[in-house]
Amino acid sequence: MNETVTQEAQNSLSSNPETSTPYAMQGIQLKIGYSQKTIIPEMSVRIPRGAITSIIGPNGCGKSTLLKGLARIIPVQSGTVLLEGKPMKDMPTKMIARQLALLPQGPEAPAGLSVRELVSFGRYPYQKGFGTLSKKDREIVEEAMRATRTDMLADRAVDQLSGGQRQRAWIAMALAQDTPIILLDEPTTYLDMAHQLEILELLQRLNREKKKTIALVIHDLNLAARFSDYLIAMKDGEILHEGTAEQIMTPSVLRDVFSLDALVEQDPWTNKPTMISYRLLKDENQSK
Amino acid sequence: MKRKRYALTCTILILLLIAGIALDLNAGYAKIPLSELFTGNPVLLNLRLPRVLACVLVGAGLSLSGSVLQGVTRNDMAEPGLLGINAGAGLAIAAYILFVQGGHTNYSVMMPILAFIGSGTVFLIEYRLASKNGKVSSKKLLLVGVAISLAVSSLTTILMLRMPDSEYAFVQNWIAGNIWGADWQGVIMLTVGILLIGSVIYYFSRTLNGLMLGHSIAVGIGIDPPKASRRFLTGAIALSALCASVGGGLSFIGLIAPHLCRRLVGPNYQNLLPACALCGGVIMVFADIISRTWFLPYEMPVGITAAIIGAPYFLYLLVKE
Repeated sequence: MNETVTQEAQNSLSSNPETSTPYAMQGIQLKIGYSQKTIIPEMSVRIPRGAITSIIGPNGCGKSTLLKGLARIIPVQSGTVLLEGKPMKDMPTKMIARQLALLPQGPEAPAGLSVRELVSFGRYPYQKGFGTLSKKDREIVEEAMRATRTDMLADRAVDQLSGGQRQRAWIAMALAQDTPIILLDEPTTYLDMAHQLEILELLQRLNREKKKTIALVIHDLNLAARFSDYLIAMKDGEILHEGTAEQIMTPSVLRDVFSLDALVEQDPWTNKPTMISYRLLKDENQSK
Repeated sequence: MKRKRYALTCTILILLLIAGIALDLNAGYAKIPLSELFTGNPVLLNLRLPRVLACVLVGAGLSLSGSVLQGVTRNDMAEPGLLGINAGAGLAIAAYILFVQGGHTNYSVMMPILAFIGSGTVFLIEYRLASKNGKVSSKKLLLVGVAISLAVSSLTTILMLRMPDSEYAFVQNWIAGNIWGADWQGVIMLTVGILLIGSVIYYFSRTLNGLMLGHSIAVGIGIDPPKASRRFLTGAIALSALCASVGGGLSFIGLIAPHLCRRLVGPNYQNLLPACALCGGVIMVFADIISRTWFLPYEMPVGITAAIIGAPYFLYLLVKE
């Protein structure tokens, strides 16, 4: 049954020549939006397994909407989301929560909630009844705090932490969910450069050491190019380009997607393409 | 460390509650030694004790109800009184007294059921009005609640105008928040109801924790927020309706007690709910003592005292926002 579904999925994505799905998640002909307003009219998207995928694009292009649709935060109006090849809408939400964790944009913890309490809420999909934490639950919670270096903040209140610490605490909660896939909506927004780097290095470590599939929405293109194995560039509810950093961080793609005139070079430290400078295309036309 | 603090807080609340009950038993026109409780003094045993216990239970129930409403709507100011849920109960009960009991004001077991219907209807209307595209704005819910609450109270007043003077005074008193129906039957009904609904809510407190973190997080960890919210809201309304049928229009208890408790034990519902029940009982019993001693020879409805304490607290919260 599952195999036929996967087969169908792959047939509909005719560009995919593989026989077994290398994708942790796929969206097939997704239509996503809110009751009156469709944000994404029709889109097929694939999140490669074991990789870091960045979704980039200008404001209002539907990046967050796509992520929310994939994570069932907003229902898809039509189309199918496949989670490890299985249609997600046939799966109980608790089972999905064991495979897929989500960190939404700017989450807020109630005043006084400790980091350890917050992280332990990540164990929800594994608990039954009243839900006292089992020994295994507690070990996973401690491990999630160690991995995000929030273990020394365990008894502090989440709302009293700095922006970077707080974001690490929320990532720890997602980690406590113990899922192979983590989706993050703008995890670096509102953080300074050092803390942005810290979050992305944490995600990279989780990807490499714990083999997590990670997909995130991010605005900083240089950071996206530096940390992502795969990039999806969106505009007006459509995917314009997708591929590796080398394929996406090019002047022509940046012109298409962001209407930017960009100077791209190889970063000598990371060997990744990086934008040295950029200007608006319109301005350039006006100056001529 | 945290566990110790929690245990200590609860112990203090329990001691305060016991002290409050003892004091309240003697708060009245005639002073009676407490030892006569064991010799079977009928004033203590059949009048004061059930009234004091009803008072404690109503406080506990309203506090639990408020804390659940606040978590589900993610609004710290959601509360059965302010949301007009109690006003809905009042209207239903006033209508019952007028049309069914023909103006007689004896308590009946129909009242909590009617109160639930009245409260539920009011809340459903508010929920409809405050939601757009299937999403409920918690700020709008509160504003709609205040408006509906006023409208419903006016309707109740219109009904009351058709009542004879004595019944009018009685319902007026009840709306101001006066513990009535405070016989053993009422106490047993409150105890059973609060224990039953309270334990179900407590059993699912981790779902309440998830809802408190917002829609996206809740969905992410595997909660179905609309379904879970509906269940918790039904429980909260049932609790407040039960309390309103005995205690009348008590405002602010469901606001103050959960707030104090969040300060004391944190927002985790597994700790918060028991603390709320205790704290609500403590506040009500002390408000009752004040009502019965400061204005002798008159006894003020405890709801007035609660409002006098609660209104400034509410304003403080508003200003702090």
